[in-house]
Amino acid sequence: MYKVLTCILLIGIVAFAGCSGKQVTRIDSDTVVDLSGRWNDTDSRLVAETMISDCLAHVWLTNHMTSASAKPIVIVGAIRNKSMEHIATQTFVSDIERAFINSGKVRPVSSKDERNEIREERADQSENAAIETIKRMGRELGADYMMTGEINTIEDREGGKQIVFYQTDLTLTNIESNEKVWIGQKEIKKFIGRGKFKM
Amino acid sequence: MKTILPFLVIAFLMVGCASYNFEEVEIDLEAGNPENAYNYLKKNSPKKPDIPFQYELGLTAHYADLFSESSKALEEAEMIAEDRFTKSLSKEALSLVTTDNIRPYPGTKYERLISHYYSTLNYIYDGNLDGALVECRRVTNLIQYFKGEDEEYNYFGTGFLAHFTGLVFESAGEWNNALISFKQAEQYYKNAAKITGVPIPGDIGHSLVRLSRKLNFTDDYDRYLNQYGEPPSLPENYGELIFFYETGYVPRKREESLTFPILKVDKFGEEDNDDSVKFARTLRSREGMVVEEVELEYLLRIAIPIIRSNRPVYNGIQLSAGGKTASGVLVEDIETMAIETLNAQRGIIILRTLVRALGKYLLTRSAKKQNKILGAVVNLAGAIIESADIRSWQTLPNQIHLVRMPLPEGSHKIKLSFLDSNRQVKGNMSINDVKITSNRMNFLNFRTYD
Repeated sequence: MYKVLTCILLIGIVAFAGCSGKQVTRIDSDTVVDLSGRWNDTDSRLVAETMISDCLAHVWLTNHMTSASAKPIVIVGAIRNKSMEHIATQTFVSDIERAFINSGKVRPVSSKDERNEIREERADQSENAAIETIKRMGRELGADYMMTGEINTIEDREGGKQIVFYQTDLTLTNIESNEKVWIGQKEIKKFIGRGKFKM
Repeated sequence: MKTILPFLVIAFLMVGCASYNFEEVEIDLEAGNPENAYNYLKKNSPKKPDIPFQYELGLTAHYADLFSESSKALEEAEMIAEDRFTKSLSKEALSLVTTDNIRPYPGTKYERLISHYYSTLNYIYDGNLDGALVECRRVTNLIQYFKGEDEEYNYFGTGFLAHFTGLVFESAGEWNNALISFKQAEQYYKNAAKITGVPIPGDIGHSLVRLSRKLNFTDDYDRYLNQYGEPPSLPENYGELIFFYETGYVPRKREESLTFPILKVDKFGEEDNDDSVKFARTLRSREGMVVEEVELEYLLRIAIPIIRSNRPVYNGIQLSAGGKTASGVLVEDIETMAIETLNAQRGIIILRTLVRALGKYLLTRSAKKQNKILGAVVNLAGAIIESADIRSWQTLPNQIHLVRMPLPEGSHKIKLSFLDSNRQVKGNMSINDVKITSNRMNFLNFRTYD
């Protein structure tokens, strides 16, 4: 009996010790850390990079370069979150824009909200900035293509086992003709295991 | 002494675990100061996020119109509840010699479901319909999980949540998801009604007719039309107010003392007769037994949680606006779910508590044999740490009623009439500037505490 109680006491002290103090450690932003099994920064970045790489390897880019003799101008529109998680789609949009810019093959332009802010700035410049530095109105680049998409999830679980299947669909549409020039899909499957017991 | 020392150390470690005072929260909420209640809770947060605390924080933030704070707290609560699928062996073991309060609280299934009702409303009020739809999909999935996990699932909370998500899906134009949710709501209300007594709200049938027609599901449409009749149509330039009236408080768990007689003939603790689990089963069958003093060896006293009904004065509602009146329909009875959930656990709670009490009884007896003062100290330590597990989400309302009211587009002054159990008006108040958008569902929830 004494041994059993001593064990329980020791376990108890360890358990209580868990409540003490907080530790913060800096880690590299490229380090993959899966804490909850949910959609995270790594998923966002990897999906964006893979899909944009696929998009830019597609024939629509060559066709455009041949017909227009210029890099296509692209805008990233709404990416709808139709999943079962609160996903920061704005971060995903930024990851797509970054992948576009880093490729050097297309010219991304600002989104609707960003444009309004920049227009306000230009309007302000016209009243307050030195004449030689004022940026002119009506010189914006009109996009040739718009990228839209959605993120869906399918979830299945039983007991402590959970499978989450993320599917990201992106579509690139010619703004003038409404023609869909590229459709891409990327899936991520995650297994989340929860043990029945821990110490 | 070697046997007793660890027990005394554990008892010492457990004394003085302070928490928030719910009465403070209650006073602020009832005085119409939910922000003060939220700030008070924030100030008294546990070092590590825990439930039910996160539920209380989330709901007070919701009533204080701090919607993103509320969603954050409720999200944290759900993550904690999910992680508590994994049981801590050390805490389970400790609870067998100390108190059930040391076991991490996992939240009841209905508490977890209702937290998504408030999260969804948070996103709707913040104008983030996509966020609200995420919550609807999550709770739909959670219900499926609960159903699959437990063959004898009681379906508590599922009817209301499926009904609510049906409304949100419909308001977002997701007709197919809405139809499925309403179909599930019809079934879930029916499954839970055996215990809760809450009948299927009439508007579900009309939603089924409307949506099956919209989706051209002719077989469904014919069946539902035959069963529920033609739903009223919304006049031109009208929108619909979807009003949730939340009344009172869910009754709190209290501590109740029960006594169980250990008889002289039991000879428990003597020789090899110290199997606490086996003897606890025998004792459990002696609940309420009266015995002669000569037969009695010891009267074992334990504390268990109980819930007694505490219905609010207001348990119905009527809305009036623009010369029209609409009555509320009961869509969720949280009090019944709380009482019945605890009742279902009562047997196992008593058994666990008896096993623990028998352990303490043996320790005290052993200490007394060595030294009378030591015996008294052990007895006192045992009494101090023994308390019933009365944790629950206390700020939840007692009942939720739904009023669906078509109103012309624009701003309205809505008169609320609060009804008692005899459907008599017991109080009135008005809400100004309720905005209705035409051809839309306009969600609003309102709480009284009386």
